[in-house]
Amino acid sequence: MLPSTLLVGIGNTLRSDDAIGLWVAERIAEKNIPTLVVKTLQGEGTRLLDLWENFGRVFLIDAVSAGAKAGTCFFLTVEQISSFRRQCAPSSHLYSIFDAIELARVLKKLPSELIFCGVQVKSVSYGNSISEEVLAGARDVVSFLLKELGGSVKDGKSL
Amino acid sequence: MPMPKHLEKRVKPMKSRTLHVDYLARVEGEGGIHVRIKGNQVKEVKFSIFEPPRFFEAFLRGRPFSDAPDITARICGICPVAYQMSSVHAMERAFGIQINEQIRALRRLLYCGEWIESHVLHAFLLHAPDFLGYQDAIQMAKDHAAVVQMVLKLKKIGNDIVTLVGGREIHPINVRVGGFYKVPSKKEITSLIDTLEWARDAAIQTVKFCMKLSYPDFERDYEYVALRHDHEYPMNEGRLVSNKGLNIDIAEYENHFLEEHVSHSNALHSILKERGAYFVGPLARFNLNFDKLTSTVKELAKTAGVAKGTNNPFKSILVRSLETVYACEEALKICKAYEEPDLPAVEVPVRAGVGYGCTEAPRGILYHRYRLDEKGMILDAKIVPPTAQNQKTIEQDLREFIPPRLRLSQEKLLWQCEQAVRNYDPCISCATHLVSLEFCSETNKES
Repeated sequence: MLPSTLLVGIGNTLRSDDAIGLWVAERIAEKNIPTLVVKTLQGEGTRLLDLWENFGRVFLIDAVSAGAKAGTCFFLTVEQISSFRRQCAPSSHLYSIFDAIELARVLKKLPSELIFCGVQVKSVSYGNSISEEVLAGARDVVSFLLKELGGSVKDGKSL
Repeated sequence: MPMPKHLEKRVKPMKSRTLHVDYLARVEGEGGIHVRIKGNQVKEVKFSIFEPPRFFEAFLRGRPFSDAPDITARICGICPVAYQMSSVHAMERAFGIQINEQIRALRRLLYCGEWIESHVLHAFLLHAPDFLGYQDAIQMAKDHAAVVQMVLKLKKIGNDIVTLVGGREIHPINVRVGGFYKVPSKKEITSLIDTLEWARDAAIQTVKFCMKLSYPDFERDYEYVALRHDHEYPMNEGRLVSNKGLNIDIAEYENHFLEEHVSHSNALHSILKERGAYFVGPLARFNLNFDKLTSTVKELAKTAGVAKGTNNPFKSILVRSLETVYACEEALKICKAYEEPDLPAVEVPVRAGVGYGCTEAPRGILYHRYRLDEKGMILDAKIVPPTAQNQKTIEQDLREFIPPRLRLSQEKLLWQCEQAVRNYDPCISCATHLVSLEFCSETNKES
């Protein structure tokens, strides 16, 4: 059976909590789920449109800066992203993940189901360790994903 | 240049004005512009870098030479190949190594991949919306879906080249001092040929697209600095030259160029010791190396009216599309001639010394210098990215660009200033790898 679900961990290992998407992806990859492909991405968003091309169900995991308490998790559908992003700091990436999702929507290149999982950062300064609060949030994301990979998501929620 | 209707309001000149952009949109990293105007004069221009500084030069000290390509590649997610190329060439020069022609060609192919994906991303998803009056590429895609789809496919081909030769498209893992860890097979390389032929044709379409854009009337007398090679359009090798008499070996870089701290930026500003600001990047390469381009590109340039060069920085988008055509043709040539090397890398005899590397990143020359001990441990390093080298020129552009446009509304003038900065495709993350500085910001005020 070919994998039908893609999970992409997005982040930068040298920017402290910005590595959290990669950390979650590694934890999920260790489970060796046969219906799942796990990839990582540095943060140039347009690559997502290539990565998810043949997948019907996609999970994206990334750090967010949304003014919430460090470690807060957000689970968002495509429809919820456009209002959510207004509370986020401007993206420092050349092409942001949210812009890439919106571009894909305009070009009709979205997968059938896309869930964005964000973890509020404490710090994205130069460094290679992740804050404890953010790791705690990420563990919740891992639990959520493992549960969802056995079913389907009805609507987005935040914890 | 068409503008959205709501930005077309004109205002009477004010006694003093401040233009302030907290976060520049559609550039890599975090930077802002602050301009203070009094009457008809621009009193102050600051292109502010306030992203957290990077300490890569310090971080590299005490690490083995072999770590430099992988560590420096993490300075930038957009041009990691450039960092890897400058670092391996510097180390090889320190050790007195000559790579063979096959490895040389593979490195050039890798760089072609990075040029294609970087140029296309910037020119058509970040800069083109400015010329067409769109807020961003998403709005542009609603009316120009076919063009956006085409450039995304073109960009993917650049990424695919980097993945094949570099082992991974972001922060390639296959580059090492002396060559590569593994080389692609002839079959893998020749499988790129059909897609590169499509890419070349698509890139030609992007040039024609750019020919239809309307460009602000703005030119200055720049000093362009780029590599120049005897036989080819420069990527990895050459002497450093300018249009005002510079012609040096890259080892003499620090004798001619200086970096200085400025209060408003975390990134050091580079200047030519004798003459001040200078200009690196596609326009510099193009103006200094036109004779080395392919006949296809020269003909397109002639049709576009830039065969004798251009001093209009807004035409950088056109030059990027011409360089993309070149990169596609160069990649095709390399793929068609490819023979798999017997070994992926040459021997690396380690010794104490100083090594210099200077290669043409998509945004311009990227200089590396390393001092090594007898075991190849890095004693100190110097890295000068292209965006740091263009900062002064960006500020001077704004200083001259703004005065004739003071009758524009605040919003329209700000938009055009941001567009002017985007001419340089600034990679602000790269430019802030150095020692932190204080910077100042002011709130918006008009009187």
